[in-house]
Amino acid sequence: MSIIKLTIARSSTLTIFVILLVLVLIFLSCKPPVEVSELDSRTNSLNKSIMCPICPGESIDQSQNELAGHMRRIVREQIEGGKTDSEVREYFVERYGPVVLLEPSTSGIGLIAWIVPPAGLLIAGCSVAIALILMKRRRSEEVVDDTLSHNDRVRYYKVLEERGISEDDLPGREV
Amino acid sequence: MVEIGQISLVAAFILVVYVTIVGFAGGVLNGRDLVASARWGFYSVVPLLLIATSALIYAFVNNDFSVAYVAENSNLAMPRIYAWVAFYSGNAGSLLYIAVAFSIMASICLKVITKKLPYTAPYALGVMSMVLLFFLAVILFLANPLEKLTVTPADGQGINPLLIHFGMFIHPPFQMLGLISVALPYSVAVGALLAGRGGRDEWVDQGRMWGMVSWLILTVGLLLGSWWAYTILGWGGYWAWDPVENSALMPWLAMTAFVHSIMVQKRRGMFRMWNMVLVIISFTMAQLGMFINRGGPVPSVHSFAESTMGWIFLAVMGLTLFVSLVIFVIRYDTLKSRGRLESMISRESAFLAQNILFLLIAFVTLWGTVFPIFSEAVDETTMTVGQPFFNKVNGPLMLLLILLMGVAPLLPWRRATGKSLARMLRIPVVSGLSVAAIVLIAGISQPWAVASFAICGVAVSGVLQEWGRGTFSRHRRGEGWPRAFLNLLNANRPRYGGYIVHLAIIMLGVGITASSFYSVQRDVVMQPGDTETLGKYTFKYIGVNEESFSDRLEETAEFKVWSGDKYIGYMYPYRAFYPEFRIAATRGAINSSPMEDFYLVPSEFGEDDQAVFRALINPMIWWMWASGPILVFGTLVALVPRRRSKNVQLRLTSLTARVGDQNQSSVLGAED
Repeated sequence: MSIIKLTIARSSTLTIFVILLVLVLIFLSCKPPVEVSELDSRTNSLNKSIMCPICPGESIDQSQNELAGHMRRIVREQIEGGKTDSEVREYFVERYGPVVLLEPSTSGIGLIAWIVPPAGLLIAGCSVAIALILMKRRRSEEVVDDTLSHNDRVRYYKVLEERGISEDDLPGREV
Repeated sequence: MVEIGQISLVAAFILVVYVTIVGFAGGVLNGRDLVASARWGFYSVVPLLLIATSALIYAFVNNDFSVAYVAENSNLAMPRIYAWVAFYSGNAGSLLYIAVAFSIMASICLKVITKKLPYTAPYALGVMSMVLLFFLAVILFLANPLEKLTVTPADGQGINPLLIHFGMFIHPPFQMLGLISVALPYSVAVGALLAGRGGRDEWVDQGRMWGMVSWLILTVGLLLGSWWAYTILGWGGYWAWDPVENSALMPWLAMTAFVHSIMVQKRRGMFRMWNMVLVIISFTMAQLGMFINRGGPVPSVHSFAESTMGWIFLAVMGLTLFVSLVIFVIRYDTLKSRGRLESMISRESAFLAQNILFLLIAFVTLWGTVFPIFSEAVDETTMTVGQPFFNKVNGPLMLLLILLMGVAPLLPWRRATGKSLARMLRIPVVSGLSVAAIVLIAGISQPWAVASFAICGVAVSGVLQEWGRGTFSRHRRGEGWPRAFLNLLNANRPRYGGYIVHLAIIMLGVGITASSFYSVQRDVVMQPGDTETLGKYTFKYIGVNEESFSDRLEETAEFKVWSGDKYIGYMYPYRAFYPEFRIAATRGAINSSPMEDFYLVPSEFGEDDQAVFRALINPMIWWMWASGPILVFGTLVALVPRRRSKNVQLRLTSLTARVGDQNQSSVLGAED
C-alpha cells in the first residue's frame, strides 16, 4: 500500500515538474536576443517618465503628437550631450513645470503620494491582524458552534487524507 | 420615429417611478399583488427602452441630422455599420445604452431572485428601479439623445475617428455593461439587508452568481480595452494607468474581492458584514468610474463621453454610499457571524488577507488618480501621477496577490496544522525556487521579473497539485484518467472553475511581466528602400501609399519583413489623419506569435519620403489575449449551478460522527 502511494505521489510530483519545466522554457524565451544600447534604454525609460504637455496623461513615448516627437528628439540629444537623467527631467520641469513628470517627485508634496501606499499596506496589515484576533476571540456562546473536538478533527483529516479527498470537494454547509 | 422614441422614454420614466414606489411598498406591506404589479411594471420598461433605442439607431442609419445627437456623432461619410458604435459614442447615447442594457439584465436577475429569494426580491426590485430611475431622469432632463435641432444641418460632425475600430463594437458596450452590472449584486445584497435577511445566508448564492456575472463582464471589458489600446493607440503598450482605465479597474478589484469572500459566508457563515461592505464599495467604485468617464476632473485619452454632468454622478455616488451605510448600520444586528475563526493560518484568514490586498490596490489606484487634484488643492502645484508610479507601487502588491492566489487554495478551512501545511506547500515552494534558479541561470536578471516568474511557478504548481491529487484519488477508485479529471472538475465547479480562472490570471501575469520587462523598442528614420533590423527581425521599407477619403487622409507604409532568414511577409502600418477632428490615428502592424509580437508603427511621415517608424518586440503579449477565452470558460464553469440531490447534503458533524465507521466509504463517496 505504502509503495503504491509513494509511486503515485512520485509520478504526480514528476508530472508537475515536467509541466513546470515547459513553463520555464517559455519564460526563458521572453528575453529577445537583442543588445539594447545604453543610449536607447535610457532614452526609452526617460520618454516613459515625461508627459506630453498637450496630450493629457500620455507620455511622450506614447503620444503621437508632433510636440511629443520633438520632445523625444530633445531627450535623445541631451543624453548624447552627456546630461544625466535628472538633468534632462529638470530641463523639462523648468519649461513646463512639475506637471510634466509622470511620477511625483520624492520631495515636497510629491512625497505624500509615495508615503500613502506603504502606510496603507501597514494599516491594512494591522487591521487584518486585529480583525482576525477579534474573530478568534469571539466567545463560543455567541455563535452556533459546530466545531469539532481535537481528537475528532485529527481523525477527520486522517480519513480525508487516506482517501485523497480535499475538504472542498465535500458538500458544503447547508443553511 | 423619433417622436415615438421620445414618448416611450417618458412612459418608461413614469413607469419606473411607479415601480420604485410600489416595489418598496409591496416589500414593507408584504403585499403580493403590489409586488407582482411592480415586477411586471419593471419588465415592461424593457420594450419601451428598446423602442427608444431603435428610434435612435434608426435616426443614425437614415442620417437624420435633425436629431442633435445624431448630428454631433455621425456624418454622411461614416460607414453605416458604425451606427451601432455612434449610438453609444457620446454622453447622451451612452446613458440610453446603459439604461436599456441594465433594464434587460435587471429583469433577468429579478425573474431569478423572485423565485429563489421571495422576501428579498421586492426590496432588490426597489433598489434596481432606483438605479434605472436615475439614468432615465438624467436622460430626460439633462441629456436627451432624441432631442431635435431647430435647424437641420446638411451633414453631421462625425464620429470620433479613434472609435473606428473593430474592438469598438464590443469593448465600450462591455465596459459600460460591466460597470452598471455591479448594481445587480448590490441590489441583491442591499435588498436582503433591507428585508432584514442579511444574516440568513440565503442571499449568498444569488449574490455570488450575479457578482460573478458582473465580474466576468468587467474582466472581458478590461481585456478588450487593453487589446484596443494595443492595436490602435499605436505606441506598443496596452495599459497606461490612465484615469479612465483606473476607474474601470477599481470596481473590478473590489468585485474580485467580493466573489472570493462570499465563498467564506457560503461555507462558514462568516464575513457577513464584510461582504456587505465589499458589495457597497464595489458599487461606489463603479459609480466613481462613471463619474470619471463623464467629464471627470482628470484628463484622459479615453473620455469620449465627456460632459459637464460628472458632478451629478459624484453627488449620486455620495448619496448612494451614505444611504447604503445607513441601511448597513440599521441592520447591523442581523449580520452577526455564525462561525468562529479557529486559527490564524486557515483558508478564512487567507481570504481576508486577499480581500484587503485587493482593496489596497484599488485604494492606491484611486489615490494616484486623484492625487493631482489633491496636490493642486493643498499646494497649488499641479502634478501628474502616471505609469511609473503605478508600476512601482501596484506591481509588488499584485505579485503578493498572485503568491496568495497560489498558496491560499491549498490551506484547509478552519485550521492548518504545521504538518499538513508542510505537505501541501512542499511542491509549490520547491517549484517556485527551482523556477527562480533556472531563470536566473539562464540570464534573466531583473529581480522583479525573477520574482514574478517564481511566483507564477508557485501558483501553477499549486493548481496542478490540486488537480493531480484529486484525479489520482479518483483514478485509484477505478475511473479512467480523462474521466477522473472531468469528474473532478464537475464535482466542485466553483472550486475547479476558479482554478481555471487562476491559470488564466497566471497567463496574464506572465504576459504582463515578460512584456513590461523585456520589451525592446527602437525608433528608426527610414527612406524608401532602407533596411533596418531589430533583434532577429529585418524590415525593408518599400514606400508609402497615400489615399484620400472623404473624411481622412491615409498614409499606409509598406514593409517586407524577415525573421532571421525566414521571409514573413508584408506588413502595413498606417496613419490616418482626420482634418475635421485634427486627430491622427495610427495603427500598428503586428506579427504575433506566442513567443513574441513584432510591432511596427509609423510615428511621422516627413518630407522627401523620409519617415520615422517605431519597431518593437513585445515578448509574450499573445498570452494576455489568449488568457481571455480561458478565463471566460473558467468563470462559466464556476458559474453554472449544479443540481444537488438532497441526500448528499451532509453536515460536517454528521460526517465526523461516522468517522471510523465501516460506513465511511459511503459517506465520503457520497459526492461522486
